Amino acid sequence: MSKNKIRVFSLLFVVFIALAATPQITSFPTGVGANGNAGCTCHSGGAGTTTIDVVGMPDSFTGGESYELQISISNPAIPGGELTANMGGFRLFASAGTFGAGENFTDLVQELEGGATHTELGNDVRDWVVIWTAPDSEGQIVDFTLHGNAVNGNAVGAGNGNTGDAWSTFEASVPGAAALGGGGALIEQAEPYEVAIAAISFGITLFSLMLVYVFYRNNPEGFNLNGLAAWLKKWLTTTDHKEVGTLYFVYSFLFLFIGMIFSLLFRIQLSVADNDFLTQDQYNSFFTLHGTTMIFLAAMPMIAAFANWIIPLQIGAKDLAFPRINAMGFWVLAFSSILLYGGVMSGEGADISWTMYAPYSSSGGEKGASAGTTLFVAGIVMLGMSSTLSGVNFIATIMAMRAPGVTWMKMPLFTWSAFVANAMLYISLPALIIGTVYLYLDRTIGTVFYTAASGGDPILWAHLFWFFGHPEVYVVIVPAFGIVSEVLATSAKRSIFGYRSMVYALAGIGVLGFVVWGHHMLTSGMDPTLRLIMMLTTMLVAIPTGVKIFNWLATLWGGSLVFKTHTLWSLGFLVTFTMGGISGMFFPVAGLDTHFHDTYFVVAHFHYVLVGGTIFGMFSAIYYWYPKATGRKLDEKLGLLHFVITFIGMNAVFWPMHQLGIEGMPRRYHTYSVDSWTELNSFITLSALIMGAAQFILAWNLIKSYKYGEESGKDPWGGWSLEWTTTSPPPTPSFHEIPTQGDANIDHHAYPESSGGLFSKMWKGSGSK
Amino acid sequence: MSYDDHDDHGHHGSWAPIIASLGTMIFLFGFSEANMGITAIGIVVLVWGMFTWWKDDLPFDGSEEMGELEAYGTPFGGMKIRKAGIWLFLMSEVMIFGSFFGAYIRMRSGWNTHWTLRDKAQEAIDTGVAGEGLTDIDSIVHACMTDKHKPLVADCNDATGGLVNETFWITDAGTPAYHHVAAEYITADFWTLLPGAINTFALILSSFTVVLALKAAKNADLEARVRDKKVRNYLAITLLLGTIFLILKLWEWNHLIHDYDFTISTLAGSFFYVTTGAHGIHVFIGLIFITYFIYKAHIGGWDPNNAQSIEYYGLYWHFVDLAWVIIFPAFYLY
Repeated sequence: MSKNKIRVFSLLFVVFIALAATPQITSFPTGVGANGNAGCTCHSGGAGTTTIDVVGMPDSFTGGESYELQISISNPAIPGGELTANMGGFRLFASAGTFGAGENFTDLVQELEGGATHTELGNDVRDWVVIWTAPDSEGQIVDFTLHGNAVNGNAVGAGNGNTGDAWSTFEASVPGAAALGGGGALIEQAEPYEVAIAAISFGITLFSLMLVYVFYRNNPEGFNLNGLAAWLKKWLTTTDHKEVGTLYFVYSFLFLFIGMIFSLLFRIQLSVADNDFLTQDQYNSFFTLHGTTMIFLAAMPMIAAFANWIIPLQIGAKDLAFPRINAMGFWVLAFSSILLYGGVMSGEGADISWTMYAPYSSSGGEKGASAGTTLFVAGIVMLGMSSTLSGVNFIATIMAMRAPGVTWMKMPLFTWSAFVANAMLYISLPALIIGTVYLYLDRTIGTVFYTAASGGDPILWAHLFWFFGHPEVYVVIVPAFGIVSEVLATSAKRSIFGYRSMVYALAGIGVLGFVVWGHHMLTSGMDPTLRLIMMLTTMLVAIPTGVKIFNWLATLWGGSLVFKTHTLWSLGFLVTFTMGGISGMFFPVAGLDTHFHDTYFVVAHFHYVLVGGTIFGMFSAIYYWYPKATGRKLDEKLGLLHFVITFIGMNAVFWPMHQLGIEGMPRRYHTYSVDSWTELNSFITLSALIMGAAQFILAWNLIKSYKYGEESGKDPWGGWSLEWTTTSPPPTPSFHEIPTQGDANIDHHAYPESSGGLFSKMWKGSGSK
Repeated sequence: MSYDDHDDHGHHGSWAPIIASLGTMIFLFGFSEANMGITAIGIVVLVWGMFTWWKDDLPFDGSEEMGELEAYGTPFGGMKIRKAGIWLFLMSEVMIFGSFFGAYIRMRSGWNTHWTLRDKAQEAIDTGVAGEGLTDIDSIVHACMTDKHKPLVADCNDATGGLVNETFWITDAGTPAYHHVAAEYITADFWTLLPGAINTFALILSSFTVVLALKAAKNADLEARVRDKKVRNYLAITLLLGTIFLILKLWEWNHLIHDYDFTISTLAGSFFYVTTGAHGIHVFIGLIFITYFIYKAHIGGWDPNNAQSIEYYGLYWHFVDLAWVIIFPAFYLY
């Protein structure tokens, strides 16, 4: 089968799966359908606020014995007091045993098709007594399902009572005496904490095994413990920028999956209305860790990984400016995750979301954040240290170690973007460090920075956090801009359109990023004048971003595009990032923000820019620079499959969230009670599971291609920045002799094979000099 | 582990980063769990990591193999790269202290309080409980603030019809608690102000002795033994002055806590102790470094080729000095 056919078929396959899956997602009935077995024989309707109480349900049953179950229903919205008829009904099922009416209740309760229900007369009351006779075999667990209905009494007569119904369901499991100890063990539902921890431990075990395997494959003959120790020592003590970059990459990739596990767990919780898969505490700490993990432990380390690997190669430096400080930056980050996750392991995970809003986060006890929050905040302080250490390194390297010829205006755009991002991070980070130190001291030694009751100022936290937080979200997107610029230019076989405007746009975003933080706080009661200012500055950000989008499009316009996997990711980036950028323009408008604030519209927006922007950019970079790091290309077929599923999955997950947000579904809530949201939410959850599964394709691709990938040589894609002039993988130190970068405009006659061809074309098409 | 273990010049492994990071983690873990044993272990591991780092550095002779590269191109062309790094690090420090001051100024300007006050004033107008003749927000706020800087509880209570009362301000003697800043106590008389004044001079003087040490270390005309002795003595004076600074500061804290009951349980106290404490930690870290420098001078480790390390240290020390020059008036005098 030809390559194209495989691509077409895999595309069709995914579309088919998506189409096949969609119609099956219907809302889960939490009430009772119209058919007899699912409840009352005459009514149907949606779930209501009805409470069902059952007294007399035994902890365990003895074979053949009868138990008296007193059922009563109540509903504050439909009080039964003034009603005389048509007050309520019930339908009770058990997986084993038989039913009968309780004493004095024979005219109210009847046995029907193996279960119990009320009689016509029993329709007029809200309390019934049912006799359940246990089965003879004690080695089983009996499941009870009870549907109860509070009726408003107005709709008299069968068949048209649908309007006044409020259904709800009660479930219980009763084990037989023999099922309790020994015999058939009682199967309990696994705790989501345990699921998460088991999945993470399993992942880490697999990961360690993989490390040993990688070591083994490197040198099968020399495989022994001493050799392994020496190999581990090399990685633990390394200061080489490429090896530290690899450490960053492996670390971030691991945490990308851990963050994904959390998101899938709470997506399952959100798939249907009134779900209780996760408790509220679990839900809170899971979304907290999802956000923090994805931003600080996945996205930023992955950016640091590429910055470590590529910056010295692109500017012709032997290594970073301060190799040991660079290694220190990584290890501080690595150990910080132990503090961040310490709480979850003990069941007291931080539940303050990645924004850590005071005063909830600064107080403990019943009304405050959980106990693990202190450790979590300490972890954030360590993250701040780590980013400061790596930031000083990257900035110093780019400012001071560019090879001759690599002037500011001839620096590759990825290096430019890394410079802007690190400068932003470096300037904004101290605000976060100080903010979290205040928070940490509030929680440990008892200062009162955020404690309003002692004259503290909770809004101060929001200011300090968002003064860091908004530049931070640009810190994770700007390097993706750089990557996309590199990838699109290389794939279009020309230089980037409007290099200078690209640089100025990057710098403009870098400056504007510092004066827009107030738009996160428009609803915090800030001064209307400031609201207006922040609204205008935020809207200004669209201008440099728009310049970049149009430059990328112009690059494609004048080029001859080659579709490699990294190209696809960058094109996908253009689509999804633009949509995310447009939905972002809704928030600075203070009036609209009041409506959208803290709804799923916000979630949709920032996932479009973080997944569709940052992650797509990073994936593009993985496929683009993997050959440079390993000397082998990634598998293009697997890459295509990965891209198609992830692209469709990403849109399927986050696009419906716009609608949910507009309809008012609040974010950060454990569950919801609006049935009409169930359909979209189930669809989102299913798509998320598919998209999550697709990421294993990438993991497999990375492992497989390391050994079996196609050899790439120095320059597999036809790129012309300095990193493609060195071998793949590059030597250590990365350049034995510091290279000198020329200018293709001036020097192109020095490359006879390209005169009149690629080079002249690419520089003609360039907007820069 | 030293550089000699490796043949490969470009690739110097070091255990220091991972040990120091582990120490930081254990320290923060112990402190978070209020477990002083684990905290102490963390400090020990951190110090161990630092010693490992310095052991790697001790033979530093100012050569390129040891990491002293020269910068190329705009803007640092010709400067040593470590110096550029120190300047960049100081930029981060400026933002650190900028955040301290930003938060502090927010408290002193009463910005947040004013907004809350305006909300309450609006509420008083809406519910019709505002004081007689007060019909708009500004006039109520104005009535509250008869003393320009210090809203008085009694006045506000009347102007807002009791909406802004004692519990609103969390007050102890009529004025809002946050207004009892450290300066009120420190400037009370000459003897409480004296330690701060001495500290200011001690710190400025210590900046001067660092420069003298650098000048001595760079002097190629001096005999090696004399030079080492001079460097050591000047650095020792710096260490002494820095120690005086810390001792006086702790004495002063003690005084404020015990004689004036000025503690971290008020916002102003939190700001005062955390900001001056953060500055004190900077001084303390500087003193640790300078102890190592004195040791290196003692064993004859300085010569004009590697004396720039003292200069880089001096940049940091001058910054700490400068930060104090701003902290002193902001927290002690005003």
